[in-house]
Amino acid sequence: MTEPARPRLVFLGLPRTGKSTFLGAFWALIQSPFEASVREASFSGDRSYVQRLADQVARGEEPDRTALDADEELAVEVYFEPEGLADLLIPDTSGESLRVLAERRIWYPRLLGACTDATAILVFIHPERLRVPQRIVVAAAGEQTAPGEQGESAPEEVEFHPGDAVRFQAQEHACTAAELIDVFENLAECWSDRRPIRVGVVISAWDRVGGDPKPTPYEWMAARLPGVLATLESNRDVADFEVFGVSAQGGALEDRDELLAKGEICDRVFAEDRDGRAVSLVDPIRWAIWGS
Amino acid sequence: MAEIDEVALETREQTQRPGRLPDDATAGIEQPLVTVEDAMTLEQARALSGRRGARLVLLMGESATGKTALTAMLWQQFLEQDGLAGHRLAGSRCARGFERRAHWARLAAGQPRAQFPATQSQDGGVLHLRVRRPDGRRVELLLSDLAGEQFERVREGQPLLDALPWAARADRFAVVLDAQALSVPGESEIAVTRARRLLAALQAPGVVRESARIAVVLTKSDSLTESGAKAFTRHEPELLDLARRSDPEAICVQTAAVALVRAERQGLAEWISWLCLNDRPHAPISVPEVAPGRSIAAFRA
Repeated sequence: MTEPARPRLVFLGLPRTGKSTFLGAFWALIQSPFEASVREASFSGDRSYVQRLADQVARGEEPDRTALDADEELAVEVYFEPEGLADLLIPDTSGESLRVLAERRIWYPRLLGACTDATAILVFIHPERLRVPQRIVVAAAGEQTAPGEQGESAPEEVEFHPGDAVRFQAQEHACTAAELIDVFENLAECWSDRRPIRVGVVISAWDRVGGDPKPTPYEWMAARLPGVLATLESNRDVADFEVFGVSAQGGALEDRDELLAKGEICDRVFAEDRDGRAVSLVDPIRWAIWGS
Repeated sequence: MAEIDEVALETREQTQRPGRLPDDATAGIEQPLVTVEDAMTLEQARALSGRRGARLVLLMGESATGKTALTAMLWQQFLEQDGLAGHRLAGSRCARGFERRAHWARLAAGQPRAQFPATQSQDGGVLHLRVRRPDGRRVELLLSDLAGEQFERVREGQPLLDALPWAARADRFAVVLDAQALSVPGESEIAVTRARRLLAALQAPGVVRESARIAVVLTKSDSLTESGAKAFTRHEPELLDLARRSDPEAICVQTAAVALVRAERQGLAEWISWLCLNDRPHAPISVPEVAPGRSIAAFRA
């Protein structure tokens, strides 16, 4: 009999980027008779934590935020069709622990342990919680940028004087791309003896991304986080890269009645692969375990 | 002077070591980060270079000539748009340092003038940028960000290797010429003379290695007035001629790193291409010796 794969996945993302929601929805799909591609292979073990997350997703509630020192995890044998059995372990790492790394520049021990042991990382990005760098341009003499001209409101007049600088504070001013690139450098160091590992980007709340035509997840990343995309694609020997767009609630929590009217979790959640093709919400994890 | 530089760099390195979380539970489980808070110290740059090989780029120019802007805008460009003449961002251990340098200019975007923080003597260091070339090769760039005062002393006659002993390890020398100054009557000649003096400093023995490259970089080129352009046309050949005494392949790169609202940035593609270009080939040496290697670690005492 073939030994089961022993994937160790880490969900990485700043607070409120959809990690726990995704984990809850994933667990609900494992339980659902309507999701044929994945099932629980062993019923033993404490499932209270993921069950609670799945219940919250089912009710259209935002999952409780994972505490910094939480030691919850999903440890379960799962059978994936057609790949086979996986002895899956996903510690629910707190978004705060990534914030501690990105902003205070300290590895939180639990996060470090999880990343060091990881066989794959799923990086969660919320499309509405990005800090995108303001485009740097100057106005010609007598001209100032009109509101909306750069796609954002015009900056207020800012006067600089020597010794009166606007102090740079990373937690407020560093853009998301810079934070992620900084994190990737440190992660890569953790894996220096066992490359490449898989790094998938999961754009959460994909239902909130609009556009006509709506971009594919890859196009979205190329437009919003080109530096991160380039960094991941330029280091294929360090990490295999993939990107997905997922809606692990299937709609906006603000309009809960409408969301719940869509049906059960398996009816309302959806995901897209890099090219915008509909895939199962399970597929980011499937890719993280077995690759393409 | 050399010792002062080293001390300043070492002192800052100590302050960059990661702290501890106040929670006792985390005590003693520190894992150093490979990324840095701002710019890299010489020691950190050496460590990186020793492991991966790296290209040390010395940007030379006096205060407010656009050295920091040139570096920060390269980072900004990579964050705004993927790819620059086929070169792609591949990482950085100084993301925060770049962010700090771009911060003011972002706040003032759309205003008549871009502002970048003046580099203070105690701030000096190198900024790491990893770039993937069109041929797939990754290049580790270590871009110096030093206070203009350092170069003022060199222009006044202090040997470059006295001011910056590690300059002998540089793989690229970029002497900055400020187009804005070039366009101001009375300042134009001064700007050219200063650039000329820095180029002359490169001719001292032991400064420019056989494999190193030199460029004259005209910054803020979109602010060239008619008289500035005339001055540039007049002096460019002699400046290049001077540079080519140390590097026969020296070039001039014209940049406008910060563009007008509806215009494109200029020269960054040429700038990154030059930075990532292979080293100059040099004639094989007859006496067998250990290959010098391109890493600055090869210069460890």
